[in-house]
Amino acid sequence: MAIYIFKRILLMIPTLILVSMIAFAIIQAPPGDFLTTLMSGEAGETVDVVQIEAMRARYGLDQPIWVQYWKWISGIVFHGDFGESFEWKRPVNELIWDRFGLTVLISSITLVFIWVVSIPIGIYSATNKYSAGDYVFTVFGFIGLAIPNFLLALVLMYISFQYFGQSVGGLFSPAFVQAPWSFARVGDLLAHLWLPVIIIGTAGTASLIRIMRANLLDELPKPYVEAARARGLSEFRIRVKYPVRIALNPLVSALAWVFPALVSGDAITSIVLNLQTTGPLLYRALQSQDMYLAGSLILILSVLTVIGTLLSDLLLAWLDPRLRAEV
Amino acid sequence: MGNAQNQAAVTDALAEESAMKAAETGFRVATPWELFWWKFKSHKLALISAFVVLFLYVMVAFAEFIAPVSPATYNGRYVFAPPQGIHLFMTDDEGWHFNPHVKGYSIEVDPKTYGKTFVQDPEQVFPVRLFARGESYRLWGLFETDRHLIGPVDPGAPFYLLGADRLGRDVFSRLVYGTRISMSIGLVGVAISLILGVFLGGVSGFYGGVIDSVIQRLIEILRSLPTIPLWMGLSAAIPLAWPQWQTYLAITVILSLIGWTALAREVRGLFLSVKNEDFVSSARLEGMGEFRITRKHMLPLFTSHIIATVSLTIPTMILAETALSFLGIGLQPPTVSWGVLLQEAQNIRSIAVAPWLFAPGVIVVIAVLALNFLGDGVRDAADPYQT
Amino acid sequence: MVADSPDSDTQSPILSVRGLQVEFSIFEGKLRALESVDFTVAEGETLCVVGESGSGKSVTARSILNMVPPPGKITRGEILLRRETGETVDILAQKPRGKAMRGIRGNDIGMVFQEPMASLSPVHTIGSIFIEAVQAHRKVGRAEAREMAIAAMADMGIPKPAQRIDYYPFQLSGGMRQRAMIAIALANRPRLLIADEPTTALDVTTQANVLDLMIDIQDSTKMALLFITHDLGVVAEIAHNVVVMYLGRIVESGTVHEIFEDARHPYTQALLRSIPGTPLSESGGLYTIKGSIPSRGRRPQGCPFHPRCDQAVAGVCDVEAPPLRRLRGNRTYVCHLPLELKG
Repeated sequence: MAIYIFKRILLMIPTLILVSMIAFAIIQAPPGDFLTTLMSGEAGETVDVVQIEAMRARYGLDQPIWVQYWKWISGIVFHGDFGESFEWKRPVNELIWDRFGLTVLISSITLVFIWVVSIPIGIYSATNKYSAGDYVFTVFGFIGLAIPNFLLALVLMYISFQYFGQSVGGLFSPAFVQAPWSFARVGDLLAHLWLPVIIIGTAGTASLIRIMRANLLDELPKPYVEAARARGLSEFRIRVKYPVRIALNPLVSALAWVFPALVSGDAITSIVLNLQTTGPLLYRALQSQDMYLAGSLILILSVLTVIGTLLSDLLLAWLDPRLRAEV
Repeated sequence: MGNAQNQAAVTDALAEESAMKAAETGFRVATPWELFWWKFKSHKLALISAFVVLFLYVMVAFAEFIAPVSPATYNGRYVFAPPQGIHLFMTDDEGWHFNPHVKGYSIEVDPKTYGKTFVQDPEQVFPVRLFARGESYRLWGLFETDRHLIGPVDPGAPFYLLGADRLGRDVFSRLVYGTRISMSIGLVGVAISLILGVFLGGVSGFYGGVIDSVIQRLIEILRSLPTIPLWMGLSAAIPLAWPQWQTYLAITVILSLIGWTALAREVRGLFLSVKNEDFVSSARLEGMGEFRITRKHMLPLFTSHIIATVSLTIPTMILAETALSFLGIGLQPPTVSWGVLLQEAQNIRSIAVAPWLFAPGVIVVIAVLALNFLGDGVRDAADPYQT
Repeated sequence: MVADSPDSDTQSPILSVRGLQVEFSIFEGKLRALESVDFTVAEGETLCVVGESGSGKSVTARSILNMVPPPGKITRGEILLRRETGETVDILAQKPRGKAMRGIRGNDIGMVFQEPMASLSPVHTIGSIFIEAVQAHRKVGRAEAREMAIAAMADMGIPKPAQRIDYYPFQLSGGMRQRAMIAIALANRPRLLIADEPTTALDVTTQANVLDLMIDIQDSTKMALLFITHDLGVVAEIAHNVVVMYLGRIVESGTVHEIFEDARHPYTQALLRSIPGTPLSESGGLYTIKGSIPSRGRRPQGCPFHPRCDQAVAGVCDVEAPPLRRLRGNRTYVCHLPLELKG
């Protein structure tokens, strides 16, 4: 197992390098270097020439592209320095971590939500194939997959605005937006969290129900189920201990793409609902061409999903002895 | 063993049964496409979806003809005018008679808030007809005409089947033009993905070894990235000054960068599963060349699977384009796509006043559902002997 | 090699199957998978059920545990099981998923399947499956059940049982897997063990070892063994009594001597002639039965075997169902031959 973990972590390195290159490419993408943007007056009123020269040296802007890349990535890896946000006039570091925490929180809670909802429903649908309930969940599943996150967010906002007369955006009540962390603030957060969780989780829930159902239907007629029955075990025990347990494996490997989808969903849903996560920050940074901020956010979010994928692989190896033995 | 054996026995019996029937009516081996069609037909939902998809692509082809007006046509008098229903019959002194028409609007002003509300005015009757004359256009840049599928007899009459937006533009017409862009972006995007996917997947499955592992690693990496933030970053880099078609193409390419992975996986899996099948080995033993084997024996088998994956990939492209354009970093107005249209619905107050701005959202859901069902149906039919 | 036959006529049987009938519902109607199946198994007896695939042997085994998979359904008959307490229960009168039935499965009757790999969960250790099997029927602690598992594995001739118990099925060889499977089936000391082609998936040497093991177990435990196979070589090695099935019916039954020395049914004769080393095969060279077993949907009229029978009499065998002929006790066969003059 230790060897497997080690190998798996080693394999992550090329992924991370590629991810950082993509993020850097995005930083570089707007025409001209950002100092041009800075000097055009959009971002700041008066710009000190000395300051600009200092920055040019810091980011190696007059040097070849790979030197710039190295300066940027080594700053992040060795000093935790993500550069400067020009719009906010503060280090990127100070801006992102609070929001990043909320993104992680929302994505993780949504993940738990998806599992808690989809596994029992998947089991029910498979063991009661073609029942009324199975059809209801199938229809729900298809619609859940077809409706984009932001549309669901809009519809739910419209409904609550129209019929309950309240606006449901945000993660905190006005009183708590600026308040320091306290139990009351956490409670307020949780009270606001259910809506984004449902919105982000719908598509994932729908697809995991389908995966669980299909896997379980594959497993139920297998000989080991019959053998367990021949040993006098109860039907419930037979199902939970054997086929459900084995059908969970593909579900765990599905995590590898569910988690990135959640981070994506979080980004767009947060923009619509105006949540204080990374999504709206990235959106604004992209619009104002605040490229170090945008690039850093993309990098961090990508690293987050890569780590999520790693965790799902490790979980899978822990669940499936065959996989563990192979490596 | 038990269950499988019993099922096998039952299937055997059935196969024999149908073979006997065939023998009675004159025996003939069904072609793969016939088998495909028989199986596909029995999947009702997929069949209906095929018609829905076909209908949408007809809209793509004939947008100018189907839309009563151009997407840019506006009229300040009818800002946020609600949808009109088409009334087929009219009553007058002589009783009922067929006379399709829409009712005009009269405007009521709230004395307190000065807010305007539209009320249908039964007095104003505007006859409606098929192939009505309206704005002239060139269909596919070739035929100049001013006929539209449906429209008011008097070109100046208000005609808002799905209501009007904040500039008094016809939501229905804009929806038709949006369908053209959104449905075609899926198609073009999939075409690019298909080329990449079939090539890389085929190479991966055919050669195996190091090439295979490198390509597989690349696919894994791409799949572990959060797509929306990445797409946001890439499409934000598209200069605003670019012409419409160039932005369109750039967005398509960006979407395909991720989209090809699913296709490549599918193609590779197919190659691997078929490479060592008996019929391929026997063709090889008969001295058939690799290329000929691929073309004659493998490709026909792949076609339906690839069609299935394609029709399952188009919706992801559509959803992605819609999401990006909705955020204002995908396609930009004046280009009209479902996402651009939904931008109008971004403001909660706008939709509270004009819920019909959700119409593009409804079409998105219908299109994605139909493409998904179609893909499922094709995939099931691709294995006609599997139950 | 033939084991001594206890006289099953005088002993009261542990299991007696009477008039068992099983039907499968499919689109076209009902396929009869089993019809009028009768046999008994006594303590210490090995009864072999022989037939080609599709003859209904596996369905018979599953009927005894009252777990015929859908769309199959037991439509007639009784299966009487004498339990340890001396009471006799009709298995078919129990609810298939009820508690009483579960108390019988794995407790009074153990079952070993054909594919040890497929029949053992790939993600559970041998020990955890064994412990669960024990705990399903008796109140024993985990540690105690574990000790039982190690002892049982040792009894099955599995080396280093204390280690192997924590192995997953894929870490064991085919023979070891089947031994583990048998150990699990015997975990609760059942009075009847059903073995559904337990050696078919194994190579020849392993097959012999596993057979010897089963004979040894039976000698020491005096349990009844219902052994399902298509391999007459295996039958010769372990059976006391034999039941030959064709298309869901018993066509011949008797002691292993009677079947091998004096087969009456043309199907049994043909089966014997098609294996090397028996008197029948040596008389006329190796033999193949013509045609193949028809699917149950197209049961031939008259005697179901007549299209493949080289002794079939036109006008009789293809018209009338053959009679059951009872020579004595359990010695029966179902055939028109020898033809008697009518009237």
